Amino acid sequence: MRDLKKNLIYWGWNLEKITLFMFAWILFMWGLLTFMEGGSFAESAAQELWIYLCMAVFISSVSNAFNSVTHSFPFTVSMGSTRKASFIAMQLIQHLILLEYAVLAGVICRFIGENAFEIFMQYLFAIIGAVLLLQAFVNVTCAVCARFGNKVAVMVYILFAVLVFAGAMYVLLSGKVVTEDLGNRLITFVKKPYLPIAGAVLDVTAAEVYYNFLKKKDLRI
Amino acid sequence: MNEILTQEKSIYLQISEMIENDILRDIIQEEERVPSTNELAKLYTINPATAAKGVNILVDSGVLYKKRGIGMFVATGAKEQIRMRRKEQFYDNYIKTLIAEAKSLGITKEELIAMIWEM
Amino acid sequence: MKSNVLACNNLSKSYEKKTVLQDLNLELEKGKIYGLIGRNGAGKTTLLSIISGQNPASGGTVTYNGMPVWENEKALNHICFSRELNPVSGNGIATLKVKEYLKAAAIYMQGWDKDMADRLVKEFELDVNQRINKLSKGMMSMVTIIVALASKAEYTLLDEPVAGLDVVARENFYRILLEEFAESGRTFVISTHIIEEASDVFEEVIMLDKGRIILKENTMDLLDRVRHISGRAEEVDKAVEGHVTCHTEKMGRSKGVTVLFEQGENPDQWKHSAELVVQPVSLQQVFVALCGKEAENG
Repeated sequence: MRDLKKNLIYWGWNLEKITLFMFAWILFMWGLLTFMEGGSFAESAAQELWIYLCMAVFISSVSNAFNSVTHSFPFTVSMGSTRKASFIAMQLIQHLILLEYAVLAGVICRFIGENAFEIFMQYLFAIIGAVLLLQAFVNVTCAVCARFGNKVAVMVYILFAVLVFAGAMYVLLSGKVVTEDLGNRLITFVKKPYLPIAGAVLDVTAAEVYYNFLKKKDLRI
Repeated sequence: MNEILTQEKSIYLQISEMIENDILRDIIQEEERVPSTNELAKLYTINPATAAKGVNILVDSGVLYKKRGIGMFVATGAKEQIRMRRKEQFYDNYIKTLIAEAKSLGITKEELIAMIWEM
Repeated sequence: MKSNVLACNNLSKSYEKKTVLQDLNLELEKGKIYGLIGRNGAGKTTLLSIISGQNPASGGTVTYNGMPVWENEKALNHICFSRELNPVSGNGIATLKVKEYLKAAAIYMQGWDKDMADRLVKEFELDVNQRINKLSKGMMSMVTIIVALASKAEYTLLDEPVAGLDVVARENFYRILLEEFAESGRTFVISTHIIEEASDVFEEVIMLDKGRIILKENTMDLLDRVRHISGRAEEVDKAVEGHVTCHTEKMGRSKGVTVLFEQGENPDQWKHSAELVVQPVSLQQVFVALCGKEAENG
């Protein structure tokens, strides 16, 4: 238990540094957008802020995870930690950070207005689901990194980015793929707790695989 | 106590010899405390166990004695004891070597004796 | 099971096809300074990292007081392996600032002595705001040493702690080490290439060659039973017959042999011989005699 506590302190200190930097960046953008919109925080500015927020979540979780598997995890082991405690603490802190972002998103909505916050609450399951899916994805690539090395993991990222880009292009170019009916069904779907459940299952499974690769890995410290 | 250690001989033997030398030259007097093994270890950067072995040779031969909780002290009569023992060893340590060297140089017994007389 | 002991039982380690450690048995008792010496690639770092539970063994176990060390918090709390640092070392450790490295050590090491760490930082004139990869080799060694000493771990393993230090700093390190050892009675295992000046510090010496322990013995006892005997070849051969020899050099009619005498034999029996020269041997010479065999053949 003490081992876990030490690891929570270290991982917290280690990962929150980057997170706090990201938060500062978002708050700065918020301030800048508010200033440019002339004092009142308009809906349009809020939308832009959302994009920054999503970017920050993605960048910080990916960089945190990569950093963890290549640097911090071997380092904690070299300091005398058990692998298990270090891994659990790493996962807990990474999830905590995603939670912090979700809370930040809620706070931003609250500031925009009662209405925005209501919408935020309606899509809460979708947001939690997205967060868990992101962490599951991060764990899969880290598992790849632990098992096959950095280069292969980077290739997985690139492949993923290409797929997302290609998908987006396809949707945009083919025009009306998303019919109104499909859109509505999608909205009802994401309001239900299916996404978080699926995300959690995938997340835990990926973490399990990830730990199995790390458990007996020869660390070059 | 401030001699320099050499590689020629076991360190612990050098330690015990150094203490003996100091006793012979009255640098440490009888019934006086000798440095502790930890002090010796630090001074010469040697393992305390090595220093202890050197000191223990002297304890075993009665040159030093332990006062519980205080340290090691030079026994009364230690100086005389060291002198007597070294005298006995003089033949082995010096004369034998002298003769071996003389032999390989072809110095005869008479020449050797003559050299000693000249001193 | 003996208590107060860190032990390797039939330990082996291989990376893919390369065997690094083979069927290795070792007991490290409490309250001693051990010297671990071996040539480059003998497996010293691998051995230390397995003993400290940081990397898995391929076979065998490491136990502390009878309990396994691997993934065992209770055992790991008593062991500190302070790694050798270098500019490219380990997965980004090198990009940390000295103070960040020390802060992490303070978090993880149970018995961390902050006062001692601060005192040593001052004594070594170390700039804690500097990044590790910007430090000189000597400064990096000092960081390794500070972590090892301030960890206060019952078993403290150091990998090449003096590699980057100059003579004065090395002497200084051994002095601080002995001071700490006298006060605490902790166990230290120190790997080093610089054998000569360290031999007096090691109570026991462990020689590792090609993944095997070829010798583990009290340093004094070892040096007491090893002699170099030289002279006319026939005389030397006659004298050393029946004894264990580990190194021979020949030149014309003369011959020199390093002899390992058994317990009870008198290594100085030919001391006063006119034909033979009998000399004590330093630890470094013993090491070369034991591990430098292939140089002789080649």
